[in-house]
Amino acid sequence: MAKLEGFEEFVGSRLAALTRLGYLLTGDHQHAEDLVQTALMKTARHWRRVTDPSAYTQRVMVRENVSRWRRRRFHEQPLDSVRDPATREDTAEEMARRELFMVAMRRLTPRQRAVIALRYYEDLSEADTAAVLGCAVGTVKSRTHHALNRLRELSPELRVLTGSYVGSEAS
Amino acid sequence: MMVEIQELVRDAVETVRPRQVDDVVRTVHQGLRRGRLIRANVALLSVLALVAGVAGVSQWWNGVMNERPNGPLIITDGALSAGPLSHRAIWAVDSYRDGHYTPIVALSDGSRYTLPGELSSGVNLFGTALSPSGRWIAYNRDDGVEVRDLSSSTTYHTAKAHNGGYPTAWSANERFVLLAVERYQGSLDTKASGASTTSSTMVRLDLRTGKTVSVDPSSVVGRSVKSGGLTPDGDLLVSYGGATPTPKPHKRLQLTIGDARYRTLNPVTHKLGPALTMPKAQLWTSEDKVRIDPEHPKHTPRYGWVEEAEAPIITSADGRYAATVMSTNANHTPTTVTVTDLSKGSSKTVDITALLGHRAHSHVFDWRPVAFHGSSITMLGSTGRNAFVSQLTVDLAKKQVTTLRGVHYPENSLVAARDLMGR
Repeated sequence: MAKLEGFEEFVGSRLAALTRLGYLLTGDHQHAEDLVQTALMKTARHWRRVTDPSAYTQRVMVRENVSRWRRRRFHEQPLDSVRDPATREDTAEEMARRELFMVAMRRLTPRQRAVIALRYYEDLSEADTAAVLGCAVGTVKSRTHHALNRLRELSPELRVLTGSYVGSEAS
Repeated sequence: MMVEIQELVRDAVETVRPRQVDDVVRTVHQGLRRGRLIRANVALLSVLALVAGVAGVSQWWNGVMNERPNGPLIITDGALSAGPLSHRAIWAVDSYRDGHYTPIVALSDGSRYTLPGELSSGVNLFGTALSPSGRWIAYNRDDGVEVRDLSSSTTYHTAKAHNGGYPTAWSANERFVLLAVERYQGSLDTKASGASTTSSTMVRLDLRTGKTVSVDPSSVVGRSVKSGGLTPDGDLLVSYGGATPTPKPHKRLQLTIGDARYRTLNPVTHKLGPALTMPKAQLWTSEDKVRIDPEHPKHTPRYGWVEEAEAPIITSADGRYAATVMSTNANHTPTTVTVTDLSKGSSKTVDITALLGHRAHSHVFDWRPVAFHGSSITMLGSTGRNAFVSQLTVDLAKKQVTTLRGVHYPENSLVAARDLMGR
């Protein structure tokens, strides 16, 4: 299909990363897949006009996730204590650490999860994160700050360090 | 076990297994085909409806359409009572508790209603989300700005205001609302790519006709324009240039006051009024600097001058006069009101502190003008935490204080002026 020239290659190269981003945003494998599918559908619709499909798809995912959270937050079962069945077998320590972290992540707001995912998984700069989220760089900084503080509160056992962030604050 | 956040994030997604690429692409193609089919059917049905003369075309306005259903407010506590609630409504801002600023309407009987949209982070500084009578409120929703009539649940949605749009001013007669908009030239894709293509656009929404007018005041004036007001005729009152105000000090008295040039601007004809020099209304906010140490958090409140934020200038109900209030500092330092005749350009300044004498509310950090009727101007005194604690009404012609009383609006509240005028 000429209208979607290059789309399949884009999906092939970015699907894994986008699915992982979706998992960080939603905290759930099934929701992550749904989120990626919805975002790719929207990207495909505007494929010819999209100049940076990766950033566009990230942006759609963040927005869709916030919308989904607004629609469903009063009806969803809390996921804090539910272990995701898709998690593979692992060593006890790794599993415990992963679970602790994801339980804490699920208790962040969607926007806080978004800054953590974009900054620390996608390795985006503060400016690029701001562009994806559609907010100011200062907002990204404050959201990151709040999100990290919240993570530390929720998972003191992990003793989360954030070398780069603390470093930039101190300087 | 000391862990880097990046390591945790990467470890957390290690178990994620994406679907097959072919499967995803096939689903996308199916979705697109289904979408085209639906659009074709909708188009066919629309044509049939138009031909039959039953289409609701009359509900579509130029530039504005009622895209959202006129559903009730989302009720979080109790039932919404019937009848007009505007004069009893205040507007409270839920400050960042859920990661965003939630618009909440609070009534004097204690009930609270949450709206589905979101406020921009600076709304409590500008104080203009709520219209003067409290009938209308404006907030962001899905890349647009919605203006809702609290008395009838009618909602105007302007798709022209992209993300970042916020209400800057209301006309005193509530016919017009001015929205400052971050406009991205090109598509949203440009914004996503991080290209710096923003321009400052203001959108004037006429609530009587539903029509919007976009204007870039900076290009019309030829200089960078910072803020705007609105006259009852719908003209913008824009400020530019002038002296830079001295940041408001926390511990010592203010020494100098800045001023700015103001002009009226017709957004349709782009006709500019005469240049007026008026004191520049400035805004300060309290910043809570928290040291980044979860073991020993340290809160250090201080006052910071918000460089880009100027208090909206207030116009009289008849549109003839504009006023700015300069509250230079608490504790016995002057607060002045400058009133300018917009047609003649002449100004008069009244020293409020002298009128108040020893009755001055020393705990007030800033006075914000909220209503200007006849020769009376009403302002609210806020603490450094944006909690309104005093109401002051001054008759400027008689140079006397007509009302000075304590009020108790919580932090970040925006108050309907009609509430204060006793109507």
